[in-house]
Amino acid sequence: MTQLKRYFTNIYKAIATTLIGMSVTARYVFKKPVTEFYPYQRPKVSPRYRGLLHNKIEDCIGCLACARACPVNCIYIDTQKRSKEAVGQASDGTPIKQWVTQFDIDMSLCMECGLCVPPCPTHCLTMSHEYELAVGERQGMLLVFATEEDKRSAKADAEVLEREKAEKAAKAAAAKKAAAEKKAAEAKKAEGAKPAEGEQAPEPKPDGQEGGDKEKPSA
Amino acid sequence: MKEWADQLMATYSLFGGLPPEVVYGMAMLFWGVVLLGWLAFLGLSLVWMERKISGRIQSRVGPAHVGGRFGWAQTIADTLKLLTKEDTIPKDADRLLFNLAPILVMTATFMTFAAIPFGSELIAADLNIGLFYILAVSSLVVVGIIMGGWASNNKWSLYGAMRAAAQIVSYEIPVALSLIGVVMYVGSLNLAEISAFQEGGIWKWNIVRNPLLFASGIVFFVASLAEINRIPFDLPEAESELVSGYNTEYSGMKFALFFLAEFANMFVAAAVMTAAFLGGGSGILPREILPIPGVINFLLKVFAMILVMMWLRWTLPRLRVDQLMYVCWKVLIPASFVLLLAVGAVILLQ
Repeated sequence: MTQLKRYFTNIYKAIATTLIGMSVTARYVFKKPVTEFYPYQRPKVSPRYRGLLHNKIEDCIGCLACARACPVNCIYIDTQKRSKEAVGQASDGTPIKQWVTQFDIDMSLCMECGLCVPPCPTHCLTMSHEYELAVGERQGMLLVFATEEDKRSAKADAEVLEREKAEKAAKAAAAKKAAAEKKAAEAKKAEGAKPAEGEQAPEPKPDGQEGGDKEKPSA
Repeated sequence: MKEWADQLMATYSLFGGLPPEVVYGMAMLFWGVVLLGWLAFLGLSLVWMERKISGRIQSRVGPAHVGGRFGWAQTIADTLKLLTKEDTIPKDADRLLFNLAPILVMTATFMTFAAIPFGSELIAADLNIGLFYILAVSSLVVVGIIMGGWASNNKWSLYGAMRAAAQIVSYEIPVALSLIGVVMYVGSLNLAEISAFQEGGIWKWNIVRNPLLFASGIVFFVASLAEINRIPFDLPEAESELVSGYNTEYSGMKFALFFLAEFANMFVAAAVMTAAFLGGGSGILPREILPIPGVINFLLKVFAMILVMMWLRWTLPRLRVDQLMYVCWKVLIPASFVLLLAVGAVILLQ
């Protein structure tokens, strides 16, 4: 009896569940398809979408904060000190003291984690909404942001910097000389007891104690 | 068709001057070409329809680009691709049987089209045993399937073919038994007569006028689903188990023939269902009130049945082999026997 009952409930269940399933699929027929006709219909990207990285190089101060934050080390930056006259200004007022002669991001390594964006002090490194990352050749994966113009002016500025340095050095030397002469003169004037102490004292002080102390044991 | 040819000879002197055998031959060729064109059209439109329906059920849109709107030319493009594809034959295959199998399957399917009544008057061969003929000829498909599976010399193909044999041979029985009820009730095996018997509104349809025939209609529908290897009974092709079953090794036009035969079989099953249970060319209202040609009524009903088959396909998962056999031998066959007895009793009592 129970077997007979099971047999008929089986048949009933088969028919009933089939009808339930059919009603479910029928409901889906009249729903709006979720298909997106991609090349014709562009997908809507959310505001915080992490797409291709973009660097507004005019604002980049070459601080390397992004390169340090990058977990896969795919940001390559090379900088050069700017001469005093060449110090620029980012759009938010931060002084730009470096020439960014190289700012490359290797997109074949980048995982679009977005960790490089928050540390940027001038907010020049952002993640764009560009999602079509495919390129025709491998070289295309390397995003190059440093401009040729910057590189050229960096080269030109290098001479200026060199001159500045030389001038500074000369100035410093002259000042030292002057100081030494002054001291010598003073010493002569005083005809005092300690001429050697006055000359030695100012030299080790700017180096600091640590540098001097640490290097000595290793050497 | 013979009457049609006779009429042609009597009306036009052009045909009357020829020997009757030639005219009969020409008439046969004409109907053959017409039906073959219809078959090709069916193949293209049903594949397109299936893709569209499956798309919508899965929240997609299906083909949408080829040919402009609705992707209507997608299947035409696919056919051109299949036609130009290389015809590969496995190295260890039995070449003769391998080539013969798709042709046999296609021929067996195409032969059934001769006896299908499009409405109750448009019929290529008005056989007095039309229903029997369709049942007998459509069983030939299984020979082609086994042939293809065996000749491919491939495990998956052979498994698919064996399953197809077991399945089609088993399900022949409930199909035939459920149709016998109709034959007893109408008193004819002629499909045109069965259609004409149900003429005159929805309340004259076999499925409505007799609750026993309603039950046999369901039995027939389920069993014929299994006979044409549709999901949930698509074990011979089970992609997830058998790659593609008996047509694993086929490519290009030979595969297209198998594919076309499958969809044509769907049409045949729906057509027999319509002719035997759903009133054939009879409309919902009697012809005096709503004069719609029988052909249109018939095709509408057939396509509605095909729609239900596709709907089922994208709803249900595949049965296990043991479940398949359970459904046939323990449910459908006893049910059709009981229904047969009941129909007989009703006829006796009337």
